[in-house]
Amino acid sequence: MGGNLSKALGKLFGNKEMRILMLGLDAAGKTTILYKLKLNQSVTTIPTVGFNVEAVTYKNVKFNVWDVGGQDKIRPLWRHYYTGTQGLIFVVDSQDRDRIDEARQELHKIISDREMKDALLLVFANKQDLPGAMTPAEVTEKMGLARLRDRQWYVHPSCATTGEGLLEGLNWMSQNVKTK
Amino acid sequence: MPPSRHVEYVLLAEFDIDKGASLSHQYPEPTGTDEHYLSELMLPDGAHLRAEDWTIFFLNQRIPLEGSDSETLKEETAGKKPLLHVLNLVRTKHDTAARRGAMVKAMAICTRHRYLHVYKPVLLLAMENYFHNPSIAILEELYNAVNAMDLSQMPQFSWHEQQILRASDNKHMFEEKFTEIQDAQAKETLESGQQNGFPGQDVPGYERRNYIDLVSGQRKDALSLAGKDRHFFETKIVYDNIKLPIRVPLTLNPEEVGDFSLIKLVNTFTSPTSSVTSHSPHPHLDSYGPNTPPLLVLLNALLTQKRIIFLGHGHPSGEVANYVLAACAMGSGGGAVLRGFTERSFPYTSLLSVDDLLKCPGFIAGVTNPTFEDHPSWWDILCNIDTGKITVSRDITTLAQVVPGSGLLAPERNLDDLALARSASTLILNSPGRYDERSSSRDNRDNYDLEFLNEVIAAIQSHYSETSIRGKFEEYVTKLVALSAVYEEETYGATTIGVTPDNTPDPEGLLGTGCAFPDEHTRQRELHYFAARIEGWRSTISYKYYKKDFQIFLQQRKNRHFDVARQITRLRSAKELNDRQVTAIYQAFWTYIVDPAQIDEVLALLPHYRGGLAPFCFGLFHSSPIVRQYTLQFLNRLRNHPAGIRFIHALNRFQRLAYERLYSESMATTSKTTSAQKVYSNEPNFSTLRSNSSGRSS
Repeated sequence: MGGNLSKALGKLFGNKEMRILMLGLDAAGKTTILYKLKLNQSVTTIPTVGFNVEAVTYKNVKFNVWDVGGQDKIRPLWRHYYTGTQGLIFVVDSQDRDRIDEARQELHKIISDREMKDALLLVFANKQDLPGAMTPAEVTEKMGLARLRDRQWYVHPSCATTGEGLLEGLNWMSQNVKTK
Repeated sequence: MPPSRHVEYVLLAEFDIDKGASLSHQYPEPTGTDEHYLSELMLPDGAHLRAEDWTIFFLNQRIPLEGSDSETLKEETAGKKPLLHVLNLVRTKHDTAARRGAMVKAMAICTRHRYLHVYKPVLLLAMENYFHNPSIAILEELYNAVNAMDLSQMPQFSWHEQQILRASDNKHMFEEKFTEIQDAQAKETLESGQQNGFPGQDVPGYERRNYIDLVSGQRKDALSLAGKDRHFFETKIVYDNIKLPIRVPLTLNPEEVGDFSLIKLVNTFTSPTSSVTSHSPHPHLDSYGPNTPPLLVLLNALLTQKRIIFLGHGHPSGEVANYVLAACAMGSGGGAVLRGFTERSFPYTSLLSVDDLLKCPGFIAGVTNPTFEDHPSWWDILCNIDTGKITVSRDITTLAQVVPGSGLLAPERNLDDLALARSASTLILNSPGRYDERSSSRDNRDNYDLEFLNEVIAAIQSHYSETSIRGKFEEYVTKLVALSAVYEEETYGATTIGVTPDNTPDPEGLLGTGCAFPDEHTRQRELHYFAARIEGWRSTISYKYYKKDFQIFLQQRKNRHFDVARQITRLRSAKELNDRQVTAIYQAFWTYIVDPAQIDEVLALLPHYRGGLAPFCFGLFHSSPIVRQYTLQFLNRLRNHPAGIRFIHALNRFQRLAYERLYSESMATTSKTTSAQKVYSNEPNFSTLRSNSSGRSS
């Protein structure tokens, strides 16, 4: 009953709900982004065992953000989170030039999955505050985004600890999400 | 591998910041299970969010293949590794010195024992030691300590003795079994001390070896008064020079693992927020139409082998594990009636084992990851432990239309129709007040399940014990099984799961065999009501096991002369017993229940929470002096039985007084009669009968 009412109100006032999956290599800053968005606080994170999930509301859109651990052994489990995902946030450690190639391969593996074919792709070029960080353009190139067909994508620079760039990214998501 | 080992393996896993979960040590040797799989289970989802989490999972599960028949079930354990229960402790320690600020480590004990919770304290200590000194020596020390636990003085119980002990509130039930062993051992130790030629030193040496037992041997009475609860065996584990007292439960049923709470499971799925999502009616699940209470849907799902998931997002994995274990106990009937539940259970599991899970028919699994909710193709029902909400999958297999039992169901040829018809007729029953008693009075006999649920809820509210709540489910499942036997006879013309005239004689036709009903009408209604679920159960693995187990029961039962369970049910509930039938019942007990093992078998069917001997005591007040005499003589026989005497002591005042009065009357007359009359002659003492009745008339 209550659920139906809030759904009806949601329609009236344009409330949208969006399922977001946040992936990336380990230590890219996924959990820090999640809790910066949720609590507007920079929290000290420890490696995620399994996953975190939080609901973040921004501009009348409720983002259900799933943050899944990034260690290579558990990456095969990512596919179980694809069902119903409307937006993928892929977080890249812009300073980690050694593993950018690995990040590219993982990203392409994800978006080639049938269940992810309609998902929006937002790439955060994270850790922009660190010296020697790749620029968004550099990240775009190294991640092979230009080659993508039939995909809406967007690269945005971010700094998870200060929160810079995060809301802009969400804003792009909310504007481009297809209402069902 | 010597069977005496308490613990087979000790494992250690760590969450490696670069590689993820990884298994660091296995002691004394690798378990043979995939290391990555082990480490993932040992480090449950969300372990980084809490300081500590206990979890349970199993190793060497034989996943029964779909469509396997009883032939394959037969060769059960041949050459297979034993099922191991794993108790796992995972701890997260924040440490600024460590890279990325924390260490997540898990230690696990793999044991065949079902009471794996006794290892919690020792595992906590060992884990702490491992954080200080991360070396395999810690595992070795733990392994040696837990395997040095002494159970040599633990008494052995037969199945019926165990059931008697379990159902009894008396802390001293079977006290003699403990003291016998202790006395024997004390004597043995004394003798061996003397043989060794240290007569002067035998007492101190004895004390050193067996300190506790010496005291209890000498001051037996004082100690038993101090109130050791004989439902447990008390021993200890010495670890790191710390003596940890251990209480081993002696009354765990085969399908019970760990120290879960069935009461908690019942409370969660009968809470005001609990509900079942709307779904197309399913004859196995919706025994009560579209408004079947959630707990009943769960019970039906368990009995008909559906794929069941317990989801506790944000809960410790140990919590969901306890729900799974409680569900196993519920579906199996207090862990005692049916089996094959725990071997299909995955108390805690994660996305990693989805593929294994899906191979298992009708699993019962606990997860903390809400992603499972998004995959309804993986399960039939999903039970949310936060809200008590049960979701029925839209992908649940709809049943084949042809149901062999249609003969019984007269015009409704298929069960879907039946379910719809039933749901229409039961709609009125479901007014907003849940499990409404007022509506049940309207259509009393169809409300068997609602009455049962209300009874369970009321018992929990009046703080009945966990054991007695489990006992209620045992009773329920026993009833379902007995009904199934009747159903099979009516529908298929024969049954192999029930007491019938073929396996139990009933020459006079006064006693009967199989399930007892208060009257014929009830019998028809109950069979009709349970038909769909009985058909559901008949295609499950637990049914196949039961068929086998029942044949073993027939071979091993101590009393082959009449159907004991049926007669007790009749004494409890049947309304229409005539005097000849009553006499036959009491006579049967007096004639055939003679030796201690036979008495155990009867007492096991008379649990304390169902009034103990109360059904028998009706005979003390029966108008027929013959019945009274049979009752008296049978109770006299129980008095000479070690458990029976405790049952007699537990009689209420009214019953006890009646018994004592009859007893003294008969003693008075026996002393008058000649010595030829013996209490244990093959006929009851009819001279006392005559004098009794004459005494009454005056």
